Amino acid sequence: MIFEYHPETDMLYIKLIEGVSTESEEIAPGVVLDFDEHNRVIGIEIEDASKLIDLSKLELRALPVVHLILTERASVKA
Amino acid sequence: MKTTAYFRTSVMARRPYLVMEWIEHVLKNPIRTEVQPNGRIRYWGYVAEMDKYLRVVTEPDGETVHNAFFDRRFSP
Repeated sequence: MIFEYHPETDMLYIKLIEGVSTESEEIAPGVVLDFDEHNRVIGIEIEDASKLIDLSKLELRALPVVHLILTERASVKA
Repeated sequence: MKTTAYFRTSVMARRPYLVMEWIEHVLKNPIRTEVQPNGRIRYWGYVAEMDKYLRVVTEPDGETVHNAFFDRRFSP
């Protein structure tokens, strides 16, 4: 599971499982689910994330976490 | 076509079916457009090759592509 935040556009993407999306559906304003070819939800995209969520705190409870990886994205030129 | 870094690094990676020609087609031939509360603009268009409706979201300038996906909830 990967949480990736894009501050320049205030977009949060939560990748639940590996895979590629084949279609998507907005389930609430600014909240879009990505589905794969088997109709599984593989990710959640949240627009205006900082307005909807407190991004300053991440708490994990009872997850069997083995790897916790914190990274920063490399900048991409236009 | 101008795109946001978010579109290039995140959207294209997880939605590899996206074809830039389809996005251009939707922007030029939208079935419906809406302005989001944050100023971004949504465009929907039909992609005949896939028999699906594509939503394209631009920045408020109406030309910088920020997001796109096959919108399975959309009905014209």
